[in-house]
Amino acid sequence: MLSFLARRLVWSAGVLLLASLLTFFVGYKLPADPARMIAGPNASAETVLSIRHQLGLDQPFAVQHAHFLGGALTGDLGRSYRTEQRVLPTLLERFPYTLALALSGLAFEVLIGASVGLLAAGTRVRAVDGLASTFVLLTLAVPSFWLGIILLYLFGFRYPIFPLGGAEGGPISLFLPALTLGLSGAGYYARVGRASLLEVLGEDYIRTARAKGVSAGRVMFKHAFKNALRPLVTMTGLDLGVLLGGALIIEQVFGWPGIGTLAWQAVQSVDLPMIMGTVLFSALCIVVSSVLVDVLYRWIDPRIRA
Amino acid sequence: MNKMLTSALALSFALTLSPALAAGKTLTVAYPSDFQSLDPAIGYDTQNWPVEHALFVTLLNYDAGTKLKPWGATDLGTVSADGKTYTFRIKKGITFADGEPTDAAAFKYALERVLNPKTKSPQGGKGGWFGVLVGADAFVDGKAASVSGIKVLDPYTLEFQLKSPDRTFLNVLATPFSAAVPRKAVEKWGSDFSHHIVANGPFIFKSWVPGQKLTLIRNPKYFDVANAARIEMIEFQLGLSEQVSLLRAQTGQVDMLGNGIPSAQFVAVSSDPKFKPYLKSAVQVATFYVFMNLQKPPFDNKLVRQAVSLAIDKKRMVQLVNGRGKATGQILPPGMPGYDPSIAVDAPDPVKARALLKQAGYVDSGNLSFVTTSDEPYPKLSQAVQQQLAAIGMKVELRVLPNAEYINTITTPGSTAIGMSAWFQDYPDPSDYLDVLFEAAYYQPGGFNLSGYKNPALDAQLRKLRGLPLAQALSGYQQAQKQVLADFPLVPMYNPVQYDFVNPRVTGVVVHPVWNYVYQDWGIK
Repeated sequence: MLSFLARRLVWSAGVLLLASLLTFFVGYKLPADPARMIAGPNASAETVLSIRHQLGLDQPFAVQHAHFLGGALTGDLGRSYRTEQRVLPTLLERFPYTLALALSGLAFEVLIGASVGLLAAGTRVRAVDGLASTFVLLTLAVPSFWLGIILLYLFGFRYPIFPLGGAEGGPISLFLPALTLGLSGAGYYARVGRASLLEVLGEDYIRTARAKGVSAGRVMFKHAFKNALRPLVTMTGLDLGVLLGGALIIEQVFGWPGIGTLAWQAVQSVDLPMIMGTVLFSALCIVVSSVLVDVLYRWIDPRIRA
Repeated sequence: MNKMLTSALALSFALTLSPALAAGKTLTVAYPSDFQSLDPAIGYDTQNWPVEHALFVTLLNYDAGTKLKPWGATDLGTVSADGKTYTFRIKKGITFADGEPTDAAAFKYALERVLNPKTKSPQGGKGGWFGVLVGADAFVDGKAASVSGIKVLDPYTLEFQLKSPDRTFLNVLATPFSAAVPRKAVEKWGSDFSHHIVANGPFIFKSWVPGQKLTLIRNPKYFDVANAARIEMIEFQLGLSEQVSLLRAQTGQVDMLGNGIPSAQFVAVSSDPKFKPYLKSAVQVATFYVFMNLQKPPFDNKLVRQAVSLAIDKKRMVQLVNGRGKATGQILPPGMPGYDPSIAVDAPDPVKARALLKQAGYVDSGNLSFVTTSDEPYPKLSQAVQQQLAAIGMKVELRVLPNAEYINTITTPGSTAIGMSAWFQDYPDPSDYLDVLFEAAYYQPGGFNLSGYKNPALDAQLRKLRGLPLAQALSGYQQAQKQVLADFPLVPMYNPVQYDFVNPRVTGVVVHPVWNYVYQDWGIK
């Protein structure tokens, strides 16, 4: 296990370095001038040049990137070009909102999606399977932003049960964005769950258990479900990693002050330090969740440990 | 005696209470994006400036229009005969929320801070507005510890020495860049001062949850009691999309939409009778235009430029923005001194335009790019221009760029032959338009002479006009504008009309030509 973790650590560091290099390169090559974005269209050309110099934007790419990496290794991701706030504390301030949305959204995804999928596979009633397939099709086809806008309009404005966007309403403000996130991803969980359970139900040990007279319920809940959940564990872990980087579209629709909104504003204003910060943070979350999933998988499946 | 005393006490109690009674309640304003900065040395857009104006006192201010009046200064200052020296006496009793006095030293510190390249102010360095001060160059280059042209004659008397006469210096002294700042707080917080603002204006800073909410409260120690803010608190709701903010405004959760009615909902909202009391409109001091680069063929030919100007249907442009504009035939907008009401809006004449192109020997190359941005309303306006140019035999391909790239492209000399842009005023002086858009010195990387217009006689005239009092210079500016328009470097299309959505319970809402919103004048019924 230790050697496995060490290998994963080295791999993770390599992935983060590559992500930083690629993002920095794209930002460097963008035909847009961050100094002009900071100064605004009415500032003089001379002032814009002065700001470029102060920000070190007139330095070669390698110098700029080395400077960034040097700071990043000591926990300093620099300051936002636009607001001059420190990048890392800003990310950490927004992270709890993204974490809350990610966890609750994921909970909806798994609960709704896995339940529908497992139900569809476990039932002998064709109509139930058919309804489940329709549900999957709808959730996969409907764009998340559209769903979010409809839910917000219906339950935040027309029949105001929930707050109309934002996060200042407290935990109840989380319900609609989490539900939107959950419904958008539930289709994938339903499909994977259904396919996984059908596969498990066809296994020899299930047939043996039935032949030995084990009840249908016990076969399903003690043997089949547990093994059918394994692919869902992988999906959940990786999904969490992605969501922790910020569910950009959902956050925008609901005005949820998470990392996704921060990333979007940074891209619009060519705020390179903030872009780097949000990308690296997102990459870190994916890398960590990937490692955790691997560790969890090794723990729950003895065959992999061997 | 007792009765008189009781009455006197009751009266004085009522009198002290009345500002508090008049002031009250909370105003909520929604903006889709967070504030860039509340630091008056940095924040420089239509969202930040009204708030900085509410937080910080400048030497000068404007009345309800564009006439300068004293604010932190006792008067409009004395100007030397050669127009290069300005002396101001500062009112006593103006203090920051931390107790620091707003005196001559505070103003000198603030202006030097803006000039200092390390501050990264949009008006910093030699190219900024304060580069006109004597000693600014040496200070910016690090050769002097302070700006010799800013003199503290005594604790409440400040003198400015300019390199050359420039009447717009008074306008500059009314901008937030010229606001005094508290030295101790700035030195304590450094780059984080924006989130720990210590102010001296009608409002002071209470809290800022980035991306969510900014709160200002009425300054109980504001020096001008008669003109103190009339509301207790302003809450800015941030980060919500324009559509969600509109829904909140319709349910009364928000009093005002900071960016006005969203484009997509404008027709529905403006035609709904129940929202009529919510709508307030004003012509903005801005102009949308099509520019042509005189340094690039085919627009180095005046006949071609004239043909383009005759092809564009300005009334159609106003229709495309749902009537939120006023067609114009000139670059200076209404509200800008020098605006000439005698200049008519020319009607399109595609027949004459085609004849002019033929006369010019224009041959369609098929590789002309029309540069524009993806921000509303540019795409639909640009498509209309494309169609109108095609109708006269000039085919252009639209190059629609994200805003950051667009600004970089159009301000790189030689990179754009034809495109669309807009100019919004910084201060109400014609030099803010004519100099910036047409002086040869502004045709450089980052400059806004997008047409590459080079006319030495005009440059000399504009330099001369800058040194004259405004009233004396106006006819000269009107002549200069006519001269420029006769060369067709650009086609002015329309002046945008801003439509605000404001809850009728909010009183005193008048769109100011410079500040847009003057929060200190607003009240709540």
